[in-house]
Amino acid sequence: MIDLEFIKSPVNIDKLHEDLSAAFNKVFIGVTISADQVRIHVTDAITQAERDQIGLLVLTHDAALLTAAQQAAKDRAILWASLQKPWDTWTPQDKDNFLRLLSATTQSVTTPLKSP
Amino acid sequence: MTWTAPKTWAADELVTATDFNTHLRDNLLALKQPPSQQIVRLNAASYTTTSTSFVTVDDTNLKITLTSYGGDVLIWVNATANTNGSYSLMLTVSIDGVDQGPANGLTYVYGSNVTPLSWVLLVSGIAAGEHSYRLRFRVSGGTGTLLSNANVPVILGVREVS
Repeated sequence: MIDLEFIKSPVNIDKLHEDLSAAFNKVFIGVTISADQVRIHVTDAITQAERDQIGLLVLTHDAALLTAAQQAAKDRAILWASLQKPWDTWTPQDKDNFLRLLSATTQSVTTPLKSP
Repeated sequence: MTWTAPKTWAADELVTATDFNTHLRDNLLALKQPPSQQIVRLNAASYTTTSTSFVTVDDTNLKITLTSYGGDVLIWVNATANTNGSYSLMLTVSIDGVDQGPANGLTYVYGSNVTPLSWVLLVSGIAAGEHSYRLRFRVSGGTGTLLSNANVPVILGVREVS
């Protein structure tokens, strides 16, 4: 394994991992972050061209961009916040939204635990 | 204080101050204060990883280099960790680059609840000389976090015990 080290902050590690995994799936292992130090773990098979491309991807990384899962979680949080109001002001759409959120929450709670 | 293999005394041998100082005083002092180091790391930010292979948490600030006299060493780790979903974060320690324990390491946490970890490992048969000890982590998926800030340290310690 080889570590490519960069100084970069802030970093959305989930988004950076997703982008690197999509672009360099054959050599990419993972990302580790400590404060502004970013380490990209890759296999020994990485080429110089891939190193350069990874460096460019890290340097142009925008921490404000979200993964699909992060965006969905953010949307749910916004929806929950919109329901923080008296019951008698709820619209039919609010009630639909509440049931949709409740269904998603129940699914995640009932997901069985597993060992690594 | 340096440890010296104790002298075997011969019958009628003249005991000298040098022998006493080397084999009794110095060895007792060495036993009283064995090679030992502990790091209490209060990092500026948490350590996070998405690596599914073990990687070093912090090769600068969470690495112990200890010269020991050969035998057993006791390793201890305290940490607080979680992941961002239905994933595991696994921890181990490497000695001279060799990860200890099975493929999943020596302990793990599962899920997003922040969980305290505290464990010790006794390793036998460490050769005399300098050795490096590093804290290592990996995830089964998602992102794993080791909390490390002004209030929550990551602790790594090593002490020779034989």
